[in-house]
Parts: sequence; structure tokens; C-alpha cells
Amino acid sequence: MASKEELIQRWDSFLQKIEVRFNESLGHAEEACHEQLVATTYEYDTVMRSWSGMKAQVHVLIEKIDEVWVGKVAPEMEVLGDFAQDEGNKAYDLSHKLLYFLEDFQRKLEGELSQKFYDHAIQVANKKASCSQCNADLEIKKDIFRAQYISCTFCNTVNTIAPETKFIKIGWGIVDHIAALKTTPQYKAMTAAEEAIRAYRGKAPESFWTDYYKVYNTYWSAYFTERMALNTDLKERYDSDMARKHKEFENFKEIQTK
Amino acid sequence: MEAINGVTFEDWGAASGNIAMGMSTEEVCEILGIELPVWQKTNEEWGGKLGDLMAQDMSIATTYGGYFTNPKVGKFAGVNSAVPSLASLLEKVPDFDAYQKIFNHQSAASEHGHDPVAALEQYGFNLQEWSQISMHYSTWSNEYLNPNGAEYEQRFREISAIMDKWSQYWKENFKEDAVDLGGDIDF
Repeated sequence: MASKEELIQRWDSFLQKIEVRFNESLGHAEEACHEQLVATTYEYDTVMRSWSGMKAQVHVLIEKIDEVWVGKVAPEMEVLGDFAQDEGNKAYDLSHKLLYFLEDFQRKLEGELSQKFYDHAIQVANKKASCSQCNADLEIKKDIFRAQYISCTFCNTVNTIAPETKFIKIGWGIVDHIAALKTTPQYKAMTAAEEAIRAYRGKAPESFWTDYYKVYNTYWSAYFTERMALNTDLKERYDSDMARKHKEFENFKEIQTK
Repeated sequence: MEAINGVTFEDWGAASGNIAMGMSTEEVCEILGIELPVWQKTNEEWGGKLGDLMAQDMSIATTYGGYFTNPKVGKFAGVNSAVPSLASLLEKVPDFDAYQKIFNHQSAASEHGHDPVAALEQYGFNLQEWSQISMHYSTWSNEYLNPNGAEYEQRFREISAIMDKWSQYWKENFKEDAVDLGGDIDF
């Protein structure tokens, strides 16, 4: 029978291998997604479906930590003494660390792929559109991702221009992911404050809520500002968006503190 | 509730439902009496507004779902579109078991990098039709699983078993699509 020290060593080695494989897998996934985006001529949804598949496999890898702990490690350790709980905490800690990392990774990946898609699709706006009346060149607005009315500067005819789907798609989530990537530091500050509150399980001091609301507002304000810098249609929604976030904060606080 | 660019909440929900059934945006614009740029802006604005309204009262999502799944309302009431009746859809998905089979197929397909809409099309449904079916079984299961009912525990086990059965079935079915990243790592 293996000794306590041997078991702990094997367990640590197992956990280390899982973490190394996790990091390697994300590295490969990142590379594959960027390559696929170019290879598919910027079919963003296809790449996201591939990522979904890869993510599911990464989840299975993370779940293996608990499966092996429950099925093999814990029974062997429990025979040798009462140290199993501390070793079990290692499984919990690593699983959570990897899950949080995976969430951050996805946010970054979506942001980077979206920026790449944006840089490609925005070129559509550089293609010439012509006035239906006098054939003069028309300039498509690069910060409105839908069909546009464009007045001809020569004959004043109002033209309806429907850009290609790829250009319009920038307005369907691409801008949001770019804004999310650009506001990562504010997002991390917000999630850290939220975690601190959750740790108290409904009993967090009021000062925690004050701190959280401050970083919550900072993040959402920065995020919506970044979005509207890319999509001017969203400017008129800024106040409504912030009001919605305020209401969602109140709803969250009510649930957490009741 | 105020209309946006002359499009009411009811008309917007019905337009979305009809588009999900395959109606072209040109036809939607014609029925609503607006041009494409106005429709696309209105669609974006109603999407944002729905989020605002849901933060205040989640039941608005049910109202929207009602227009989406029964889109022959408002300006679309007289439209000659082939919206199948719920009864005819339920002939193809007669019980919760049949519903879970498709639901889990979609979910597993998505998890394995396939297009979930294509999975749905294998059963001959579009998004609007599937929404009608989903809404029906969501309501059905809420009523069937009444926590105050005498049969709650037995029914809970019954429903859970159906869900697990189809989840496992599709997991097994897509097994070859998955790579076991930690297959060579053991304790």
C-alpha cells in the first residue's frame, strides 16, 4: 500500500498535469480559432461554434479533477488518516481557478476575434456606393451597422444603401465584445467586488455594497462608452442602458440581502 | 407602451416571429409600411427597450414570447403566412420525452461545435415553430411539477430521468466528435 506522502505526491503530480494540459489546450484553441477565422473568410459564427466545442472538451478536463478525486484519490487517502479533506481542497481550488481562467480567456478570445472581424468587415464601408440618380460616389457611414439613408452631396437625392451582411454583423455583438475587451481592468475590479460580497452570503457590510456600486458604475459606464464610440446608434441608449444597470444592481442586492 | 418609429411592441414581436418563420425583411417592411433603414433601427431600438423593460418586470418576456410564437397579430393579423397551429406541431412532438430528445440534441450539437439550428431542421422545425413547442412544454412542466402537489417527488424523479436519459443519449452520440484532453492523465 502507498504511504501518505506517496499518495500526496501522486495527487499533486496529477493536478499539475491537468493544469499544464489545460494551458496547452487553451493555447492550441486560441491559435486554431484565429486561423479558422481567416481560413473561413471571417465566418465569425462558425469559429464561435468551433470554440464552443473546444470549450466543452476543456470543461470535461476540469471535471476530471473531481471525478478522479471522488473515484480514486479520496478512498485511498481516507484509509490512511484524516488528511483527505485538505487534499480535497486542492481539487476544489484548482477547478475554480481553471473555471475562472476559462471565463477570462473566453472574454479575451471573443474580444480579439471580434477586433479581427471588425478590421476585416469595416473594409466593406470603403467600397464605393453610387447615387441612384447621378452616379456620384456616396460615403457609407462607418459607425452605423444597418441600412442607411445617404444624401448625395451633388444632387441631394436621398439614397437607401443596404451594406453587406458582414458589415451589418459588426452591430450584432462584435462591437460588444470589443468594448468588453477594452474594459477588462474595470470588469475585473467589478467582479472582484462582487466576489467579496458573495463570500459573505448575504451578510456583507453596507460599505462593501457602496464599493461594489462604485466599480459597477465605473465598469458599465466605460463599457457603454466604448460601444457607442464604435456604433453611434447606441449613443441615444446610454442613459437607458445605465438606468437598466442601476435597476439590475438593485434587483441583485435585494436577492442577496433578503 | 409607446410605439417606436410607429411600430408597436405587438407588431415588433409579430415581425420577429414571422422573420423566424422565413418571412423576408422586405415583406415585413411592406406590412409595417416602413423602409429597410427604419425597420433595422426600430428592431435595434425595440431589442434594447425589451432589455430595459425586463429589468423592471420579467413578465414582459412572456408577452413578447406570445407575439413571437403566435405572430398573426396586429398588422400581421391578416397576413397569409403558414403559421402552423400548436396542435399540428404537437403531433410531431407529442410528449415531454419527445421534446427532451430534440432539446438535448440541439444542446449537444451546440456543445460539440455544430449548428443548433441545423439540428432543429432535421426534425423539420424552424425557430418560430420550435419556440411554440418550447413555450408549450415550459408551461406544461411548470404545471406538472407543482411543488405543492402530492405527487411532486415522484414527478420530479420521472422528469429528471427523462432529461438524464436524453442528455446521456446525445452525449454518447456525439462521443466521436469529442477529444478526451485528459485521456492520458491518470492518478
